[in-house]
Amino acid sequence: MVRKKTISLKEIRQLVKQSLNEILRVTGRRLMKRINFEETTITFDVLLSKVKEVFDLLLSVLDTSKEFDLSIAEFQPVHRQLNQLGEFLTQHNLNLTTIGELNLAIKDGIFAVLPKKIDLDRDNTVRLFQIIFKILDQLTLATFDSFREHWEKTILAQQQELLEMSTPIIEIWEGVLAFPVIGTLDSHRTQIAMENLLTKMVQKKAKVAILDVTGVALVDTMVAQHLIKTVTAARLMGAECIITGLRPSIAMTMVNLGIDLNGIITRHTMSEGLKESFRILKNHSYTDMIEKQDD
Amino acid sequence: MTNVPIIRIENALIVSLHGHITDRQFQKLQEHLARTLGKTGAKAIIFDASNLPYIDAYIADVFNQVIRNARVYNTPVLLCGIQPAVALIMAEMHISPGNVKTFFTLDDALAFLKNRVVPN
Repeated sequence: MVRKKTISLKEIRQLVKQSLNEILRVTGRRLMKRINFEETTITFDVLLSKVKEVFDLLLSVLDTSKEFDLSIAEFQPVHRQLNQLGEFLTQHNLNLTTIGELNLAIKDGIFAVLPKKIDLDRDNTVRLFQIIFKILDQLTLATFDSFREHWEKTILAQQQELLEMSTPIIEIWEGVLAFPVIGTLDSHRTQIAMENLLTKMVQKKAKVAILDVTGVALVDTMVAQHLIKTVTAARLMGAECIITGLRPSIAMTMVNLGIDLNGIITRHTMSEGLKESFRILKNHSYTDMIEKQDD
Repeated sequence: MTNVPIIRIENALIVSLHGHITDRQFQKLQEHLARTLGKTGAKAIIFDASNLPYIDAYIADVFNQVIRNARVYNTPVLLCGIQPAVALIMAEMHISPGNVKTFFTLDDALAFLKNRVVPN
């Protein structure tokens, strides 16, 4: 017999609760097919338990019999839980597609199971799916948001770490600082790093700094300008800078860009740079600079 | 308007540059330096920039002239105490030390002179 009475939220809740295991089975099958578990650190069982959590949330939302809106205080616990879900997914190296897949798989399960459980007319069927899917989609959207938030946080933290790690200044000899530059040089980063280097040179009374650019993949005009600026600044302060580790391709680029390396000491490797710095240190206090000046 | 003081220590004349030298003061300084050099027979001039925490276009130009005029004095010119931030800005303005000797501190410059000039 087809019922005509409008289906209530309570009935929907009851229905979902009753057929939860069946739904989970269908959902699980789909997830198994769609998600490549070898690429993630998550197991199927764990993911399924997360799906169960989502269903718990769905049921609790249906329980309140209120229009679902995450900004309402009543749904704060739901929001918190979704946040945790987002964080969990981020930690397990899953991507946004996975969240989408989860949503689709849950819907698949509901679609496959619920109509079998209850005889509904067209209007009521539409209403049933509309209510459930609306909540599900909102849950998904919120998870997207929290996922993105955690993702950004992770990236930001990594960037900061990289910035600190990639510009170490090492005193490799008395009066010689080594400054290995790793990664891409952008203006902001270079500015800070170079100022740090110069300050450290004054602090340590280092007469020579070796700027090693072995770890720099690309040099453009700006980066080259920064390097040259640092060398000039160091010389103004009374120190020397040696640039080492310029790769052939970078050297070619610099020549092509018309960058003048005249008067800048360059060496092939760090060790040769160190050798050169010893020579500079030796000559530093007895140099014949003054005679040169009188030329 | 007071003149920029020139201090003589042993064989060197020391000029401490500060942030607000006027054009006129600088001109006077150069005349004064030439005269003092003649009077004292100093063997070097040291420009000390450790009192310059920042730099503007004018002071940058003063530096530029100091460096370029090094030969005019007919005496070795030494530059010391340039702060990192100042050095970076100067580098940005394409001021390079040329063949003027530079030092971290006044002590370094004086030590250098002792090792270099006195034995002669």
